Amino acid sequence: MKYFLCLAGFAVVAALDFPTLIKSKKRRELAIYSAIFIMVLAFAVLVVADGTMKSTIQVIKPFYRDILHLSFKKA
Amino acid sequence: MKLENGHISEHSLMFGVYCFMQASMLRTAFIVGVTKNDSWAMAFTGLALALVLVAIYAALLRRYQQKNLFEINELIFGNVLGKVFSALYLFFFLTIAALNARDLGNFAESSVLPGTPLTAFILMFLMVCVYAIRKGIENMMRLATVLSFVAAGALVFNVVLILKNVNIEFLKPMFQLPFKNYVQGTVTVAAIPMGEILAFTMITPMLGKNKKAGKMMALGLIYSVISLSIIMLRDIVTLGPLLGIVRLPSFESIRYISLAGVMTRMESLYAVILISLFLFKTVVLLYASVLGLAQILNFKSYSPLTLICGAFVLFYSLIVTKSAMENEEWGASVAPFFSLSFELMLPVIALATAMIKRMLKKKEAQQ
Repeated sequence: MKYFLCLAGFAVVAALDFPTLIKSKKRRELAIYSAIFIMVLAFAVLVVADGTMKSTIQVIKPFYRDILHLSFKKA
Repeated sequence: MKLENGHISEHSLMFGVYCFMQASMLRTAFIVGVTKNDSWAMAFTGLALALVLVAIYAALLRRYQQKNLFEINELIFGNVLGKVFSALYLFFFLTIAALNARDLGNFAESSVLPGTPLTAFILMFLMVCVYAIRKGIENMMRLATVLSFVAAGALVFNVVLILKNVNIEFLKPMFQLPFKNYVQGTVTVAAIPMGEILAFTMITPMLGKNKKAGKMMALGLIYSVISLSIIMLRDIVTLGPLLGIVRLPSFESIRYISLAGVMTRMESLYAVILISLFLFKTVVLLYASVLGLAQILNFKSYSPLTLICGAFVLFYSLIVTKSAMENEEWGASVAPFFSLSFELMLPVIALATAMIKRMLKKKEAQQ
């Protein structure tokens, strides 16, 4: 169900954005937009599929705390 | 080529900054845990540090009039390195937008609409944000004036109604904490809500030539600091020792309001205002991201990118943090340094490079 909702959402985005881009005949913008669209769709499917994906905070925190040694101690 | 042709007034910018800052009321919990009953003073010490940030942004905007942050990067660092800097800012704006969307989602899930799936609420919220950007950011900036008066009016109203529940003794003992706590509180306040006004450097070109963007940003910041300190004072004198326990001090303190048993549940009114303020803040952050992305990719219009960026922020907000607790821990430990990397370090590098380039040009001209 969640995959269907996700894909349906992206179908709506595509239906709203692609016709305008195709009509405007800006091929370069259409190509770049298509690439972004596919990347965001892939990211969305990954988020929906993988409930155990690491949060962004969990990735950034060790870099600042352990490598740069920039962190406040929680009071 | 200009991607944005809208115009805003100086006052719209000032009220915009005020609204943007007021949306950070939920984040007072980050500071309250560190500086406890002295937190209200951190708004002022944080302001001193934030004004330095504004001075840096103002210096950049003065040198490159009618250019936004991403355009300035390309002018200073050239096409390639400029785009690298812009990509870093883009990551920052998208992360902050996702964190704010998630914050609001958590707030709605726990306090306003319990049982509603987090994704459904964030989806609805971001759809409104995308709609607002597509209709033009200048409309949102005009709305900021009304929203500011509503937020300030609601604050005065809440403070007056809660006066009978306050205990001034909760302010004691004053300034007895270790010095490092105050430093942490100051840096956190300056970096997390205040420094985020960096996003307005994407909007300031809409002011037109010779307009005082820095002055208006500083004024907006000063007014919001007054509000922020009143909010924190209200929470301290109302909640007392409970302050360190509750997750949303501002929301909890308003729950105390009861006027003759008739005027109660004022927090629902507060929630509506808070959601509107969050909407404004997320619109500004999402607009900065969309406009920046369009500039990096040399698009002729940013409009086609709004929906897809909104979709990205929706899914990003779902993984940006796993829980409200993790978000709070992040806010009190690493977040100030993460934010300052973009709010202080990158603008300082840009300003220093611009100054050196100007000096070298002058020397060349003299020779």
